[in-house]
This record gives sequence, C-alpha cells and structure tokens, in this order.
Amino acid sequence: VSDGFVDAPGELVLAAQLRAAKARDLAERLSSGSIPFASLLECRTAPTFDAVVLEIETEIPQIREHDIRAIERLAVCFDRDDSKTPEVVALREDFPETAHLYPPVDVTPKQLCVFEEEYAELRRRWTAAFFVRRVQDWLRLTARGELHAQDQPLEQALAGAGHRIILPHKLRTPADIGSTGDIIPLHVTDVDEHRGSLLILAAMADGASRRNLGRFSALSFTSSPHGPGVIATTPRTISELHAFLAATGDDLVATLRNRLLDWPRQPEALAAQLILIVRIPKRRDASAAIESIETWAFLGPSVQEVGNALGVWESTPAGIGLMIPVRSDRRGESASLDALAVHFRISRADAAQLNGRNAADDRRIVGIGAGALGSQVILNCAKAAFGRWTIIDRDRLLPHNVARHALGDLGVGYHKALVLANAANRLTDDEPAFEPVVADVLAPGAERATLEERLGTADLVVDLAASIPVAGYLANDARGAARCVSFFLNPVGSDLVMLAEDRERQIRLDVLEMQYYRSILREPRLRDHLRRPEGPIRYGRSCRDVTLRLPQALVALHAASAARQLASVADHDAAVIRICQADEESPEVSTIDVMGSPVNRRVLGAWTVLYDDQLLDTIQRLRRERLPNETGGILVGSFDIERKIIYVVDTIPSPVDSEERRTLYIRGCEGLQEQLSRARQQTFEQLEYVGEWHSHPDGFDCLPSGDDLNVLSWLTTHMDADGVPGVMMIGCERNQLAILLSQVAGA
Amino acid sequence: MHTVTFFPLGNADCCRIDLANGQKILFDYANTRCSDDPSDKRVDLAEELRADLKAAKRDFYEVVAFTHLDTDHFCKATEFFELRHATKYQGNDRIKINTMWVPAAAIYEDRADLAEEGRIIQAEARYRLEKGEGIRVFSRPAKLEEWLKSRGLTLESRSHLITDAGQLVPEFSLAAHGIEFFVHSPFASRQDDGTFIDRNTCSLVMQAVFEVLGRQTKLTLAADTTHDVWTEIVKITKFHSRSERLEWDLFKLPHHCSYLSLGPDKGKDKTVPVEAVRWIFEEQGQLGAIVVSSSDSIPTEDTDQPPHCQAANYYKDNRRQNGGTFIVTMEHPKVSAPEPLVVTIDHRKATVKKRAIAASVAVTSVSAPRAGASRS
Repeated sequence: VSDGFVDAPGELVLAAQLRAAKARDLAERLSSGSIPFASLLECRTAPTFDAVVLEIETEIPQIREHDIRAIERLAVCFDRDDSKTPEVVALREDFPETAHLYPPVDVTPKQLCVFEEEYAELRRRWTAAFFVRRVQDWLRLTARGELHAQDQPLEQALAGAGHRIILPHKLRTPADIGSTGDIIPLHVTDVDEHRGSLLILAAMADGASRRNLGRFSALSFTSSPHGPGVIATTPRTISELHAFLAATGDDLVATLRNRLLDWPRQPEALAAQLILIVRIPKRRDASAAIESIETWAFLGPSVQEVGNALGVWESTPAGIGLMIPVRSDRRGESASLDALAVHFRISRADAAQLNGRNAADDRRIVGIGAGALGSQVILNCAKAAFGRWTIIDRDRLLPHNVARHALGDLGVGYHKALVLANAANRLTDDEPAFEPVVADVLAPGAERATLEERLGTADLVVDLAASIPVAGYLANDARGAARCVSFFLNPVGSDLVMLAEDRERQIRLDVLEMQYYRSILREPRLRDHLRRPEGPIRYGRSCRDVTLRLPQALVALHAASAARQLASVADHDAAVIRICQADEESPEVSTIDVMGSPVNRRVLGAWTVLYDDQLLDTIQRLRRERLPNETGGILVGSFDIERKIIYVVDTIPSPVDSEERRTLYIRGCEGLQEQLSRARQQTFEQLEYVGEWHSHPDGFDCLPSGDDLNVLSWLTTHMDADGVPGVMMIGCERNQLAILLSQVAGA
Repeated sequence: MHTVTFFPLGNADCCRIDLANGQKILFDYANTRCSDDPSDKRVDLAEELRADLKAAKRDFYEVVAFTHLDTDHFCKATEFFELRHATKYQGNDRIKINTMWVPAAAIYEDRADLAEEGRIIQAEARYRLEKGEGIRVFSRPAKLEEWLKSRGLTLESRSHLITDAGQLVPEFSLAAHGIEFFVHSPFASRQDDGTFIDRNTCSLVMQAVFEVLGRQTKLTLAADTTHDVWTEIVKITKFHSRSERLEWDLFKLPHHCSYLSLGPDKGKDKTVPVEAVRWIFEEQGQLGAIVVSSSDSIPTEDTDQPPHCQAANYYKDNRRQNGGTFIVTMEHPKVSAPEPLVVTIDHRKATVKKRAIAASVAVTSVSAPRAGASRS
C-alpha cells in the first residue's frame, strides 16, 4: 500500500554506518536537531552511494504557484567518493513538475536541480547547514514560482541525453519568421560530439548560408499560439508531439508527410537524421498579443525512418516504396524523439544588454589601425555592440603579431582588417556591422573613394594607427567633419594616451598632440613617459613605435581602458588629453587629464602659425611679473614642413644672465641648452626650438622696434640654415601679441 | 511586503506590524522575561524591539495599541516607552509613541486590581486625551463622557479621537498604507429583542486587512475575547452583513489558548466551540490560514491556567483539516529555543518565515561578546 511516498534507494542502515562523510555529517546533524526546520527520517546505503532521507519544513505562502507542501520528504544521495554533486530526490509521489528539475521530469521520483555551481566550487563551501538552506530556498522559491532569477533566460528543461543545439537568433523573435504551420529548413553547419553528447550548430538556410552538413536535416515548425503553462510531459515520439500540438489545431503529422513527399530520394538525403524544432508562440489569453516563443528541439531518427513511421513510404531492399495512399494509421509512433537543450545565438541588442547597455550603439565609426591595441579595442567594442565600424588597415597578420593581437593564430597570413571584421561580425547573429577596408590611409590607392566616403559619413573616427602622420592627415587633410579620437601607447607600453577632439573640431588632433607634449614638459608624473625602451634601438624610430618586448596583459589592460573611454568620450563635447599610467610594481592605474586649450591661427605668407591660449597666458604672465621691465625667452614647438605649419607650444623663460630693462631685453643663455635638450629628450625630439619672444612694457604697442627687426634678421640668418622660418613673438599690454617670421631663402 | 511578528513571551502579548512603507505598529507590549534567569527562554522584548528600531533608524512607533489594561499586555512598558505625562518617563533613549490606541475603559475605569504600571499607562492615556493629541480611543460609552465632563471637556471636542466598533480607523487606508483596521470591540449594541448589550469594558479586537498587488490578507487581533463576546460579535457582524470582517488568514488567538475563548466547557480531550466560534474557525478561515497562540508551550495534560491542551487540540485539528498551521509562540521554531515568529505578507498572502539564517548573518547582526585580556 502506497503511503504517497516512494522509498529511497539502498538498504537501511544507522547513521553511524554511512561511509560517505558528507552523508554521515548531514544525518548526524539532523538527528541532533542542530539544523532548524529539518529532521532525519532514515539512512540508506547502496554499492556506490549513501542516501540520507530527511523531512524539510518549507516556507510556503498561502497562495502557491507549485504544490510544494509544508513538509517535504527528500532523499539526498551522496556519491561514495564525493566526486559529484549530491543528488536531491523528492520522494513524494505527486511532487509537482516544476522548473529546475533534472529531466525527465515526468517520472517519480523527481530529481531537484538545486545547484547551478560546479561541484568543485560547491565543495569548498559545503556544510550540512548550507545544503539544507539551499534546498529550503529551492522549495520556497519553487512554491512561489520565483526560482528563475529575473535576469535568467527562461529555458525549457527538456534535454534528454544532454544533446544541445544552437539556433539562429532570428528564430527567437515572434515576428518576421515562420507563421503558423510553416516549416522552415535550417542548415546544420557544425556538429561536435563529446562522450556521446552532441552539440549541433544550425543556421538559417537562406542565401548567405554556409555549408550544410548532409548528416542532419533540420526543420523548424511554428505552431499555433498557446496559453501560459509548460508542457506536462516530454514528447518521446513524433506521435506524442503531434498529440500535444493537435490540442491547438496543428497537424504536425500532415505537415511532415507533405514535406517528405517532396524530399529528395537519394540515399544520403534519406539517411540524414531529422532535427525537428518546434516553436510555440505564447500569449496570456486568446485575445492577447504573442509575448514570447517557446522553442523545443528534438533529435529524431533518419528521414527514411520518419517516412516509414508516418506511413509515407516503406523501406525496401531497393530503397523506398511510396505508399499510395499514405498509411494514415501510422502517425509517428515509431519515430522516437530525443530532446535537445536549445540555445540561441545572440544579436547585437543582446550583446549590448549583456554588456549592461540599453541597446546596441549604431553610430558609424571609422577605425584606423588593427594592430595589437587597435584589434583589441575594436573587439571590445564589438562585444558590447558599440558602433558600426569600418576597419582600415593595410597589413597582413604575421606570425609574430599573434603574441599581442586580438585574433591570435586564427587568420595569420590574411589582412588584419579582414579577419578582424570577420571575427567581430561572427560574434552576433545579425547583419554584418563591421566592414573591412584593406588600405593605407595615407596612400589608399584604389580604395581612395571608399575611404573618403566612409570618413565623410562617419560619426566618429578612431585613430588606432599609432602614427603621427595619420593623426596629421585626419586633422588637416581628411574630408568630413567627424570628430577624431586617437589612442596610442607610450614606447614602453606602460601608458595609454587618448587625444580626443572637441565636437566642433576646433581643437584637432595635431594641436592636441602638441598640447600633449607640453604636458610632458610640465607634469612631473610624465617626465619618463616617452622614455626609450631598454635594449638595442632602431635608428629613426617614432615616439609612437612600441617596443617589441611588451606584455600582452598591458595591451589588454589599455585596450579595455580605451574601449571604456571611447564609449564615454563619444558622448562628451570637450577636447581632452588623457594619459592612463599603469604602475610598474602594483596593479594601479592612475589618470592624468588635460583639457584641450583653444587654438589661435595666424597666417603669415606661406606659413601658418598655431598657438593656443595657454601659451598666450604664459607669455602674458611672465610679462606682467617683470613689469615695468621687459622680459622674454625662447619658444619651443614643432614644424610641419609639408603643410607649412609652425606649432608654437611653450617657452623656456628668460635665462638668469638675460638683461631685462625698461625698454630693452637681451636674452641670455645660461643653462638654456641644457633645458632645451631636456625638453627635446622628454618629448622624444618632438619639440624643438622654433624662435624667440620678448615683451613690450605698458604704454608701448606691439609693432617691432628697430632692435626687434635686428633680432629677426639674426634669427633669419640662423634658421635659414635649417630651411625653416624662425618665429618672433612680442607680447604687449591688453593681451596683444605680434608674430613675425624670419625669411626662408627661396620661400 | 509587510511583516507581522509575534514574540515568544510566554503567556503574554506583543505583535508588531511592519508596513512596506516603513511604518511600525505595535499591539501590546509585555516584556515578561526574567533577565536574571538564564534558563528563561522568553525573548528580551525590549532588546528585540530596540534592535529592529535601530536597524530602521527610528526611535518611535506610529501606533502602540494597549488592547486592555492587564499585566500580560503592558508588562514593563513604562520602562520602555517615553510617556508624555511625567518627565521621569522621558529621555534615556525611551521609545516614542506617536499615537496610543486604547479601549475607552482604559480611560475611565477605576479598577481596584489595576497594577501600578497599569495606572501609569492609564495616566498617560488620560493625559493625551485631555491634551487632545497622540491618542485614539475606541468606543464612546456614557462613562467616557462623564469622565470628560469631570475634566471640563465635552465628548464633541474629542470625538475626532474616538472610533466606534464597526468603523475603520481613520489614520490608515488600503490605498495609502496598504492596510486598514476594522474595529470589532469594544462595543455596545441594542439587540433585535430590545435588550442592550454593553461590552464597553471589553478589550480591543480588530481585523487588520493588508492589500498587496490587489490581494488581501486578513489578520484578526483577538486580545482576550471570550466565547460569549465572540457570539455577540458574530451576531452583530452578520446583522450588518459584514461576514468578510470575520474572515481571516492569520488569527492571533485570544487569551493564550484558553478554552473559554472557544466555549464554556473545557472538554476532556478537545474543547467543543460554541456555534459562533465554530463558524469563525471552520468557515471563515481562508486556505492555508495560520493560527497563532501567544502562549507557553502546550501542556500534555489538563491544566487550570491556559494554554489548555483541549483548546489547542481543537485548533490543531481545525488547521489540519483546512490546510493551515497552528503555531505556538513559545514552540516556534522549537520548544528548546523559541524565536520571534515572522509572517511575511505579500501578493501570495501569508508566509511563515522558516529559513535558518547563516551564522555569518547571525553574528554580524549583533555586537560580539566582550573579549580581551583585562581581568575584572
């Protein structure tokens, strides 16, 4: 006579006779009453495991989602050698079919899926009390119907033999694809088998589809809408599945029969194993809209056997013989189905959500440079669905690159832009958002039109090329009005530099670069920022050339930081220079922020002189400090001879041996060379001498005096030897500034 | 989510209602524990309540109701609460009462057997009523009016502070607070046969109705009501076609599981209730409803004092047959170590909290014991 409970497995023993230590511990603690709301019923032992039978008082509300009782009787089976998670089995015969049961769920007794963690992890925290609390939580939340955490996708726990299938994202959304009764063929593109369990990859069989493994034939069937509630029992045959679907008027058997009549009759097509995907639109009630799609997948027998089971044909030694008419008594009873756990590929929207963003960011971004830093920044953005990118790079991925490139060995020999765009596009299951352009930005050749079009329509240009000429091109020559942001590393790779233009592009990359150099002179923490790496130095290196010996972890650190900053700076208006310094000894990263200073432009003949407000402020401050006398100093900056631009960046103030009088200034030279050479060194030769400045006292205008013109001609004599003009600036009252250039022969 | 907490205080009462909006309401306060007896399993009520207030960063209750002036309903309350009528009961971290609820008798009655503490609480209630603030009095018998007159006050001037049986307490509403209080007792009523029943000396009996996401949960707070009073309450409630006011999901039993709340005869094994009480327990309890006996653990044999095992047997059988639970405060979760009984109330109605708390939570929720090398 049943008392409503099934027996736990094994022979009855005393608690002390249990051999699994965790079983004995649980039993003894239960019997001593040290665990509240739980009590020991009996202990059992079997050849490979020990079982503890206990009763747990559950925390149940008056109104229950599932029929969990106030006291539940459970058996816990502990593996003798403690190698796997103890199994928790509900012994009550009418224990409900809830979520989070191990399949099959339509059997007695049912096994509770209490733990999601790996046992290795669980073991570290396992105590009898911990275990009982977790089971109580399972029962409490199941009673309330709240066991699914809110952010967990609701998955059908149907899996039989542990097979899984990964489906295209399109099948997940109710709209668009597959109306009621439709059958959509899918392509099985990959299958992996591990110890008898299969992982099957399926894709839409549309035009862009990749290869289809002939071993499987996948069909997706969309049923009529169903109300809430889960399937009571797992269908084990096509016939049972048909019976379930027939409740809402769908005729799966007829649909499959029609499909099979059109099936190719070649032996390999008939030998393919059928994968049947059933999509069930769900809604709250008959008048409501479809809220979600529940998807089941089953692995069936071969198409030939399915045809036999549905009475469409009969196997003969010669192949198949069509049954005319169809044998209607055969309704798939002999076509057994094995449930597959269903997973979906993710969309860009999903990727954005999983990255904590509300939606994919679809702004158009041109990314230049897919090297070590570039590839990792772009992949970080791709994974977060940040931006639709055009990736421009001219290089191929070579074997030595893989040490620090995002793509590793996958794609060695191919162009970086191509493999990177491909890898980024494959992350999500929707239209490609990454477009490769194999080109050198500075010499695009055949790609010029494409490149100009992309730059012209971009919302943002991200310069990851670690090339001063590329930044110069973007600042001065490139078409389009998109704001540019540069990221590059210092030579030893310890620091990440971001130069971000303002939205109006008043302060462009080239000017920001100069202001960045000035920061290096001014900011003590940046004194060694551009130091050369140790070891042999190649001749003619650029300051943005990164050492060949550089840990990937540092690149990854900076790439992560760059991706984060990109997302925030893209929504920010102001120009900014930011240097993130990774400490050599600790994991600390500190940040130095410098706001971009507005730039002034003076065209003098063929040359343009650029200087910013900060330089102006410096000159005026030094002038005021020495009033009523004059003062001055040398100017440091940089020449862009190709574009005939002189960037005046900073001053080395008046040397101590200078003569400063009411209307006279003779710039001295004590210590000047040392200071200049330090400035050159600290900026990797990017800043150099560009000229002289001095002040006029109050009451005098900015017009150069005879003496001033003498200085200018002195400057001409000297600078002409280098083929560049020298700059002379005169600072006067009311913030006036005169700028004169020395002559260049032939200019 | 609201919670209702009952404390293991032996044969004594204290029930705290914590509303989802943070408001706290206390029904009775009887800190019965002997602090110098380590074997006393009753909780230190003052300590429990203070810890809860501290966690909520407050030093007051919106309401403290004294259902009637018996010691098992106010024991040591004068040490815990700040009383407005005398400075000696003020300061020193005493807990403030925004509004005191008392039955009318607590104002006017002049009981010879009233304990000293009862007199202090009566003085406080009288002080508040005279001042005209911080109090609500239930029922308005002639004796209350007489008392007011003796203080030079009229009933009209205080009528906004008085609620009669059959009314809702005006300070709370389902819409604004998620709770309403319906008053059953004290009461007086003219019967159909012309007789006048006066139960103004009775204790405060209320139905508290919670509402969460449109679903109601009903709590009956039954003070010390006896079967004859129940019979009258049922009769009046039915007369007014308000039987839903005697529906319940959670029932705080009157008088510590005394048989007299069920019927006149204790019975040998099981008390048989009078018809009105039978109706309440057998027809008005909702699915899965919970009966709470605020009492000592149920004895195994016949006793003079409550709790009476015969009454408990009735409630146990009644709950078993209705899929509910019968819980004794001094037996929850176990006789050897009773703890406060916490019932949460949400859209799934009432749930008795049962999860054992982890040790780390337990030890960090209180101060650690004294440690150190000093030898004092």
